[in-house]
Amino acid sequence: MLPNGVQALNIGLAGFAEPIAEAGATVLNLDWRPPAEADPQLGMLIARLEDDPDDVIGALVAAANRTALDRLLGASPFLVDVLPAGDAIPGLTGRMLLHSGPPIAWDHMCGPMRGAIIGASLFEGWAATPEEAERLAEGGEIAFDACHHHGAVGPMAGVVSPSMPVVVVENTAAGNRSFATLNEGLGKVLRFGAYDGSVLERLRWFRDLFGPTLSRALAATGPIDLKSITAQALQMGDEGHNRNVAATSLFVRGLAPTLVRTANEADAAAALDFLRGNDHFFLNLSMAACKASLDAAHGVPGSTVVTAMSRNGVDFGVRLSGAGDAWYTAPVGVPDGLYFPGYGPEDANPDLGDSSITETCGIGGFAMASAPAIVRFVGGTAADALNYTREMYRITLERNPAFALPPLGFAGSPTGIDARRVVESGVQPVINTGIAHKLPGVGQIGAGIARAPLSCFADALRGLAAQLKVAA
Amino acid sequence: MTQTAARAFPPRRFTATRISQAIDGEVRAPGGSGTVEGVHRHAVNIRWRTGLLTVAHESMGGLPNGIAVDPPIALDQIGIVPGVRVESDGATLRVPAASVAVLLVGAASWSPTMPVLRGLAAGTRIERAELALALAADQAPRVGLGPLTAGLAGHRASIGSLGRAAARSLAEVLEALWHGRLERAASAASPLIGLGPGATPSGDDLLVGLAAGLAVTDHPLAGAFAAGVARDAAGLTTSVAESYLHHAGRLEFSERVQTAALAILTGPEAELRDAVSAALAWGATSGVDLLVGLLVGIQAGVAPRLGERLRACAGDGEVAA
Amino acid sequence: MSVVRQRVFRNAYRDSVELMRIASEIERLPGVIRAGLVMCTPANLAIVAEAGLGKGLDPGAGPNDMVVALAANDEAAAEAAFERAASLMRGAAAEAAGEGQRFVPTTISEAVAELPEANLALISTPGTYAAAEALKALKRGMHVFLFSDNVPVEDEIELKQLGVRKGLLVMGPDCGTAILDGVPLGFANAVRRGKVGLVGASGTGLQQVTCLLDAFGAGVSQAIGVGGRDLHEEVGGLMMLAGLERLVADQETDVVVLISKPPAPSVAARVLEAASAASKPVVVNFLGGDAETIRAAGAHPATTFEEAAQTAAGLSLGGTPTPLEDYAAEPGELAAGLAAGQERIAGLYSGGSLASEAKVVLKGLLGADAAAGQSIVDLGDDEYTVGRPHPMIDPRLRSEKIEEAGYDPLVAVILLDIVLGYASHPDPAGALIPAIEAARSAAAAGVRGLAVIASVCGTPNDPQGLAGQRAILADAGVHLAASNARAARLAGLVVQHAAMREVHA
Repeated sequence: MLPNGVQALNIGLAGFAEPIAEAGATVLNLDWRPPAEADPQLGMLIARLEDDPDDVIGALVAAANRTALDRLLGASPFLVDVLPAGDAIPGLTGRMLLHSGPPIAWDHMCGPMRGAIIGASLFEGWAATPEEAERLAEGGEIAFDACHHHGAVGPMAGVVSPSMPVVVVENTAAGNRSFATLNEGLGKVLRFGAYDGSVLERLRWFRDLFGPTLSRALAATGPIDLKSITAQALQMGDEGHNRNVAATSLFVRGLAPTLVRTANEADAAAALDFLRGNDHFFLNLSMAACKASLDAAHGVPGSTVVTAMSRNGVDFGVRLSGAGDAWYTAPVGVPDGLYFPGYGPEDANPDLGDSSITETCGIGGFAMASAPAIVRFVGGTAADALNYTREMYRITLERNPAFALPPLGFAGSPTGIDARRVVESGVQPVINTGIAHKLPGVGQIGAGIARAPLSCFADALRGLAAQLKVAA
Repeated sequence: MTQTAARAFPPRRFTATRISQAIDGEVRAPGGSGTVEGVHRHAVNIRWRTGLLTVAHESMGGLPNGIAVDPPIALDQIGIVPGVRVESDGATLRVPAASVAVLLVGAASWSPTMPVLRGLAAGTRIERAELALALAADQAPRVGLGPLTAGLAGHRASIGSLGRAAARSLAEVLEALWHGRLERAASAASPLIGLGPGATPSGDDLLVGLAAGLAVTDHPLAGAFAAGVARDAAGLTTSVAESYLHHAGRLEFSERVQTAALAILTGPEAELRDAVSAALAWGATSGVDLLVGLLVGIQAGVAPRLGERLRACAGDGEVAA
Repeated sequence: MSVVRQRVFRNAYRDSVELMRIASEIERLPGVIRAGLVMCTPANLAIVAEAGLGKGLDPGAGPNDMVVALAANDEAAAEAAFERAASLMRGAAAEAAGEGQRFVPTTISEAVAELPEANLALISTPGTYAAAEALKALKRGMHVFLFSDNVPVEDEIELKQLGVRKGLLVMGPDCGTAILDGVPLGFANAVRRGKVGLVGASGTGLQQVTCLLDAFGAGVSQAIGVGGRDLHEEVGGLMMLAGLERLVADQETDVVVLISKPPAPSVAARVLEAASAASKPVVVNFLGGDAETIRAAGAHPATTFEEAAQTAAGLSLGGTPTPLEDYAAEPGELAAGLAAGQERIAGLYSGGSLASEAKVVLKGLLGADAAAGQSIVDLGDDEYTVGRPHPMIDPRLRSEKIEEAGYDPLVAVILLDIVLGYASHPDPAGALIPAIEAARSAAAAGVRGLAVIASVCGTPNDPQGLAGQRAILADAGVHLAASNARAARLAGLVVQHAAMREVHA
């Protein structure tokens, strides 16, 4: 009856496996537990969305995922320019500010995001005082939208205003572009909600000098291959989200000679001084590169691949390639981690920022195996770092050969989060993240591990199923 | 494609600790170049103009065609792949596509020539070879020429077709050498070239071992016989085996073969035992194959019954205890 | 129809340990008769040719190329072996990623990554989740053995329709027994392999028939369980029909046996139609079904499991098989030991189909009314198994009921089934002895008799051992019959004698 002999999977009572093994056949025992957090209907929905060449839905999902993965893995993000956001970002017009995470109204925004909006308004000259800025926001005179809706991503509060210079990243494989502001460094910075004189001064320097300097240098070097830098950096102890020093160093080393040749001495020195002091400069580039890659994979009908994970300090939001532009959200919590001296969980702001786009693309927390040193900041042991990556293999469809992780025998990083696998196994995507103080302007108070809420993926699958007209 | 790969791997520098005198001149001449042929964890084989070079971890010991390097980073995980170019400017050996550089300056010179033990009594040679053979028979694997060791040691054993072919050839070679008939010896050896499993086929390892045994005991025909085999082997076996036979033809052998030969012939019994056990662990079957050749070579010309025993192994496949 | 094939891997610069590892794995692949893996030196190519594996070998292969030369059962096996060799040659980067942690899969998709050739899923999860697991397994091209019950009938229909479309078996839900290619699934016995194929909607029915086939000297090719509800109207006998079709097409099957409780009439008609079109003899046991309709369809009716086994054995082996030993006990003698008023059979069953068979036998022997007055209970039924294990695994409830019966002045006979085999209790007979002895003592104290009658469903090769289990029961004074039908018959005769004695008294 079975040409290759009985090769069985035993799902349930372990005792049924022994007689099969005794009879000389192959049997593999599963450590089965109810899928989808013991929701039988959701479990059945997942079963209906499984790959199946003989079934219309099953074949569609399989082909859609294949397409999405090909586009994701084949993406080729290059840094092509630095331009004012208002010029580069489609749809950013008038008095409009972009923010991180799924869409959210002013009334619900968390402290750091409000602070950043106040700062941006002051920077743009829409208001002369913080109170005036708040009145504008409350009064609906400033339009707000998610960065993600405009091809942009921003760390922490992620506020983008029209005059801010943004990096322009182009995915040469598909032609789509993505954007991110320039990383300000640590301490009192806009993205943590600070808006005092030093913050605004830096933003002005970005706008008037630093941004244009970078733009001129880029015109001379030509497009910079961001994927290649990330690939090298992953083999130098970075993971692309919370550890960026190797990537930043490689980037600066590559750009420095041209900077010196295309800018006057003072501007070049100022730029290089700033870059020297900012280990995380590459983070924003890393995020934009990931956004460009994932946007290319988004919009394939029937695909269960996750194309965005993001937080706005109140909600965690997820998008699936095949579920259109809908955000599937759930309240977000405080990350679990280590705090700087003097701070504790009671000071922490709930998880915030678009930077989880890196994990969505297979780096960051997913590549923790390459950056065991991160455990000194987020907690755990070096062995834990390897195990996080191994765990993520369970919920992803591919291993990205471009991002090879040396401690795992150069296996590719776990890429292509499949919402079906997440919900079935209950394994939540892991995110390496900074922890912000809940009051605007205080800054980072720690770092830790956050897990994407399972319900987002469950809702996303239900949404996709409804669109495909599949019922449990 | 190669460009991107190069930029994806951080540059690596190795330091050469030892270079074999047999290849020293070639590799330190500026302007030399070659192509990577095979990549393994502990060694990379490079097709050079003059033959095969091996860059290997220092822990592999001296190799007749080898450059021993430090640190012992896995050579198959740093971007070196078969087909990429290797070049030397005399001071450094480079693999540009993988950003790998091996600093040659400062490396010690290592001699691959087998030391010669003169004046060993025939009785000693036989006794030691037989002891080593008995130990090998007890521990030998059932692959390659393992079964032949059991047969030679007098165990009731099924020797297999490879073992029988080897025994037949060895018997004929011994007889031809005894009578000083070089051509006969070479033609008796030739069926073994390229014969058997392994990246270095069993027959070739056997012949290298045989040459080593003849060389270390100062057999008058060692050099001529080995050189003849090396010439005949051209094109008939794998690249690595051909290289080993080429060097054996010049009585050049790897450090571990030299050490084993000396330990078996002159070391205290504990050292002999260790040497046999260590040799059996070489490669998959290379160790036992080489050992058989070595132990027969050591006894060439002084062990009257050896030929008979070999013929018995070759003849009927079962040997009475 | 074996084939000789080679695949040459050019410029295969691997070390000998890797080559040896690949060679030993290829040699052990299913369908590979002989395999050799060597570098293509002239000497080695000569050997390959001598070994008869060289026909068709590319003459351009050189000493630095590697060849895998093999003789395989068929083209597909050869291809699979070459694919495996190729993937091993490509290297094991994926393995390295999993080093250090022996990871146990928790889902089918994870398990398939570890066992890519998986072709059968045994599912015994709680019923709420079972259908989803079965669906996933079917979508991956696996047959399904679905032990779980409490699966909604709509799900059963959907799964079976999908199975039929994909040419896969859906055995269940509520399927306790199957034997595929000689491999026992669930509660099954170690029976001889042979030419009788079975499709059954009842687990213990399959067990009884397969054990008796073994006793008759015949053997089993396949025993396909279809779950208790398959022949209900809504499910329409989907798997019974699919199973029948398979066995009719199977070269290794000469005789087909179909077992079920009486199916819904439309379903019975469809099954019999298929049976009548079959090119092999079909024995049909619908447990109390109409023999005439079965005969009219050209099939062989059997009223009891023993009859089914005997008929099938006869058809398979040719001639009439030696009948089973009749029971040693004399019904009249057993009845003589009873006190006035002891007229009832307490049938305490672990196997549902065996209980049903007992009822059918008793109805035939005693008439419908008298039979209805007997207490034949299936202790594996849902009402008894809520919150406790099945009696085939855990003897405690049955022991209680046996002892209770001993105290009951109306009980004349305790009728039992002892089911051996894989997954069952390691000593089912021994486990009941204390209760049997207690029941006897209770009866004796009440100045009553008590006949304990049992059959043991098993084979000499079962883990528990048929002979040993029978001996344990015999030593305890249990009257043994060779089949459940005979045991029920003996029990019926005893109470018949007892009733007649009353009349005459």
